[in-house]
Amino acid sequence: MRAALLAMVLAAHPLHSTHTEVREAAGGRLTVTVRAFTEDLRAAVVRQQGGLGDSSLARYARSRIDVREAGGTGIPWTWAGVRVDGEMTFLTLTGEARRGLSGATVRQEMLMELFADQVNVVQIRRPGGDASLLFLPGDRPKTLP
Amino acid sequence: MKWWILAGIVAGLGGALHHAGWPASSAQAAEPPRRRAAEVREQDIAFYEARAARDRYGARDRAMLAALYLDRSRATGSEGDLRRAETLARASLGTRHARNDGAAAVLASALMAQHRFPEAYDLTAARLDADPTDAVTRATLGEIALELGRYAEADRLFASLTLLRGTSGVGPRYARWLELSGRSGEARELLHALRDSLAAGFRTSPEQLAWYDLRLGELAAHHGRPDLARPALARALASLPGDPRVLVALGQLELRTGHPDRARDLGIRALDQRLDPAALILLAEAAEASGDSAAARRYARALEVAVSQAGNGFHRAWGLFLLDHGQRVAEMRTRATAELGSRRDVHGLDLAAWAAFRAGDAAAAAPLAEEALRRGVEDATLFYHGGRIALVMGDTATARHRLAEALAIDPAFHYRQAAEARSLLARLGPR
Repeated sequence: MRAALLAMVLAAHPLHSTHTEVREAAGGRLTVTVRAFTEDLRAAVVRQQGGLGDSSLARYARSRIDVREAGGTGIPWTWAGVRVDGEMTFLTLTGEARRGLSGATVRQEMLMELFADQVNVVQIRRPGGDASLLFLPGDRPKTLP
Repeated sequence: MKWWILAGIVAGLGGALHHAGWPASSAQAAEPPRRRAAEVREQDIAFYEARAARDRYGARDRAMLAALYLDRSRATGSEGDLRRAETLARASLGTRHARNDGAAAVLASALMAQHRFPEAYDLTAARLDADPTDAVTRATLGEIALELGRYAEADRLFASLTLLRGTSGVGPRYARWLELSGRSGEARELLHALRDSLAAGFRTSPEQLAWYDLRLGELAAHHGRPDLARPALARALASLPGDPRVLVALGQLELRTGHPDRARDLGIRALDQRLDPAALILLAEAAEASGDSAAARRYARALEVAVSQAGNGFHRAWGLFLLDHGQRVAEMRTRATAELGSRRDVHGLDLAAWAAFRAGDAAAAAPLAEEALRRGVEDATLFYHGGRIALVMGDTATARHRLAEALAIDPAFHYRQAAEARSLLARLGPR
């Protein structure tokens, strides 16, 4: 029964989510890729920025995603582009964590201002071991081991 | 959506989709199948969007576009695509009501995906009235009747389709009927035959094959045959690498067979693809089985947030999860009982019974469990719940029989409850 029930859940009840991958390469270079539903992202960016150009997207992403190194230094993000693939939009940002991501704090609040049921999945890929984080509305930043 | 429904739709519109460039398994073999199918779908959507924009009365173009949006909503979980599919199918039917089965089928599926079963039933019943010879419509109506718990009607509809059960539009639905008639073995044989036939076909997509492999894997997994389930699910994953439904099915199997760490890894991989309540349930239960109660709470909370704004219906899987953990029992009981007003199927009855039992009202639970088991569905969870309820009611003979039956169907039906069933049986002793 459980399989039947589980299979039924997804499409019957729309879900609001984004997926973010934070990939750390040797030397601390970070690449952040966010996957979001285009329709939802557009609504959020227009609401906050009043427009939908790359600069608006970049400002919105920077305001909702925050990664701080263990000492509390925020990582400045460089806009690396956007790609729309069907219903999904992919945003890419790059940055550098000089001390690596161990002990870093992560916050991902995209679209939470729109949806009370927003769940943001963040996957950390790093040489020292992967980590999986979930962000819900009202969550505090999470610290990586 | 229940993706067995979608496979039926794809099969039902198969000819048209093939003409529109639906991927053939024999072509482009070097590319990853998932990517290829998604790319082709995007091209098709662009193609039909352009055609629909040029011809405001193009019923067929809108039906095709609706089918493509429905397919994409299944792949991505997009609410917007589901809405678009429904709107386009209605527009197509508005332009051409007669001889527009494709649009009607997509509309019925879009409604079912939103759990709007009564609307889907009315629509499909009207189609069958208009053409009683249409086997796919008959099977679709039977499938909806199963969802609504109208078993006598479903039995009648499917009984008339026996000779057509080997066809792609009827077969998957017929197999579901067999499964919900306590004939899981026959369901498995039929699905196998349909899969083999498709595999030998010319334009079979990896997604179609994966659908059959997932169904076969799940059937085997829930009938105590992990040895058959694993290769079937592995085949599905090979066809659709990274598919979250397959990953979750594999994860559930790993969890139930004592490998919570593997289950957690598979759940995380599933979340990589998209947020899926099934993956969150898997992760919560895997964490619990590993003794990581903090992680279990985190996943349970994410699940609650994710499904909290549900527009249609009642999250049965979430309800079962909460009941199993003794949470929000009164609320779940109210919701499960209320749902029986519109859907009195075996799983709805079982959930209402389990909710009543967990609320301490075994007297109310007993007749519901009795009704859920009457159909003879070979589902270990139904028997386990029924056994627990009978035990509290003082009917030890029935309890013993049901608990034994649950373990006979699947000795590893649940990561925790299978052991509980064994322990209860040991306490009850032999007859």
